[in-house]
Amino acid sequence: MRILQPMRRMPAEILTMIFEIASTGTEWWPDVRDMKGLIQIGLVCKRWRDVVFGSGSLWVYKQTANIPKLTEERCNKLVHFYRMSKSSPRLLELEVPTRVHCECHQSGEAGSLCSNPVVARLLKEGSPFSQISFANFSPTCFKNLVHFIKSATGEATAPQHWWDSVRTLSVGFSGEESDDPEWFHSPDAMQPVFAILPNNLTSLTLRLPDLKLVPNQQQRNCVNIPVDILKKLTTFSFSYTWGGPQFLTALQHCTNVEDLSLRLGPRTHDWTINTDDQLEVTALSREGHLVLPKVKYLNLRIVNAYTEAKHIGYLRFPGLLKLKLDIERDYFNKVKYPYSSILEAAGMFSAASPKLESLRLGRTLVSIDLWRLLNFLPTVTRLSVYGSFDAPRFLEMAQAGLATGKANVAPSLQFLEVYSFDDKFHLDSLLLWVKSRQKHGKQKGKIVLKAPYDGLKWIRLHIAERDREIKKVYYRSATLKLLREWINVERVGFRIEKDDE
Amino acid sequence: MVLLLTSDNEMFSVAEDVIKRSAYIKNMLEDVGESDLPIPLPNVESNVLVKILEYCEHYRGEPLPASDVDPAEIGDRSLDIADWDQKYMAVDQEMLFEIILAANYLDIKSLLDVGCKTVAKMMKGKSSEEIRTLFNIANDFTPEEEAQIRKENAWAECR
Repeated sequence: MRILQPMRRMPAEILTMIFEIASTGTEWWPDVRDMKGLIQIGLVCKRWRDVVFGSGSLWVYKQTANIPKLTEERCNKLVHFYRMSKSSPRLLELEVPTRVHCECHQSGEAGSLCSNPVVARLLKEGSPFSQISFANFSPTCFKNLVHFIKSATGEATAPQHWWDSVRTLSVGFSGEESDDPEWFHSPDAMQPVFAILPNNLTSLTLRLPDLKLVPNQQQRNCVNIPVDILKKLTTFSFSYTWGGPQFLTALQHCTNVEDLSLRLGPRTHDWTINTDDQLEVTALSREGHLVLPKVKYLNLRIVNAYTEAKHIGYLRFPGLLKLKLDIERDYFNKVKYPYSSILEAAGMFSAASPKLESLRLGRTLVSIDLWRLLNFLPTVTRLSVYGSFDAPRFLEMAQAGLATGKANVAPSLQFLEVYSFDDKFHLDSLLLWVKSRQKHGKQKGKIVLKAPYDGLKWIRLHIAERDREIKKVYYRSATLKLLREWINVERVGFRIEKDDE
Repeated sequence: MVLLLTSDNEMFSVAEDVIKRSAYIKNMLEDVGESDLPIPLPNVESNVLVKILEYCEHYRGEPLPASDVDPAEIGDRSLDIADWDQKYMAVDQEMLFEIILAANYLDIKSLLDVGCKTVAKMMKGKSSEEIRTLFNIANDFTPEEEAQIRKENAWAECR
């Protein structure tokens, strides 16, 4: 006989999981902890109070301080929040609005943003932080704030300042057309901005600014991140929009990075910018490649496939398992198959290619490029695509292939995910492609599969609650009904109680 | 086949690939090897095990897909539950909590996640009083204790 009702028997760790999910932010502000909601949960009963307020684990959440708008009241709230987290990690994002500039850039001395007294109080009373982000900072502002952190915060008796214990750092440098001397060879020799990075980082996110173009007058600085820091990184996210191969100078030392994100390509219509830069890499293999042996997860965002394929061609990822590729745009339309060109350049189509398991592709993908990719990537078990490609054309290519006796493309495919498609997307064509992969027939009125079975057994469709027209397509699909006999077709992004079909 | 013995002494014979979704049973089978003896489940009643097996059967032999979507791209996905899972979780509260407890005991992470999300969705946006009513929880605070908590946490009301 049960003495306690199930809710009262729920262990604290499960209650913590539930409360954590229940206090996530809203649909539009998912990164914000619903503090009021969490406190309401803590007011339910004494046991729940102890779970909510007892350990700091529910109060670990990145808080954002918008510097010019940071009031004393907001600062008090953030300091309270960090006290609630007790000894759990403290996460902070300092943010400057895009078009706000600090005068420190001109004078070299602390200005209105980097000497803001409320920010100073937040850094003193809220620290120590274990993760910290700086968004839209100028190099001078960043250096001034780090100087303040190291000189005015932390315990004097601690063996190491908390700044040097920071494991996760994100720095986004501001500027659509930055002419900050930090980024150019300048006679005013200053301490390089990367020299002040914490010593023990394992995760670094770095966004360089878009530079002002002054041809033949100034030469850009190198991306001179200390080698010791790069070698300790396991996660590195690098947004490099300067053009040319200089990003490889930093990447050559990332020998322990497992999770790599690269956003590459000049954000300018002058695609020739810096493409003649000398490659300053000493660690090339015999074949002339820069091998990053530990990278398992790669997120590539390419602005311009035409210029970047050449640079990507230096890179090799022999241990890659999961790839996300997004070609943002191709200014010059010079590459016929941008997605496959990039992967081909990175050696993914060669005999010695990595055993890629998961592939996620971006919105700009066209059906012929998808078809070409899948023909060269036989090990992919999971494919995620946007529903923006021409599905009937894709089906046509598949049927033409099968008619000539070719085997299924992506023969290892187990899971297919399609998201963000509209009611124009021909869902049935995609489903017919899935159906064409399998031999099936009827036995006593029931659909049965005939060997060899295809491995594709999962389809997940992302259909938002508001997409009524798409839901109609979904429900009316006869192919879908047939497929459901042997494949799990699920849709997410909705609530059952709101469905009236 | 694997034999499972529930807390109310009912014996279940289950295909190995079905029940291996439970990391607890999977590890036990790997450690002990094949055996004719039933695995006792003292924390799971038969009616709950039937429900758990329904879930394991549905996901039989399949790699459980974790969504690959960036939350930033499509808003908050943390409360999203797939359609079959939502229907599966449409049970009375007592059974819902029993499923969560059993999923925790049997170490079926995906089921535990779905269960926690289901309960979290029920609570979201509700006041403490509404949550007490929803789950039939007694308020064991004195008025002074409750006022003290509210006072200590008044800072959260600031913008």
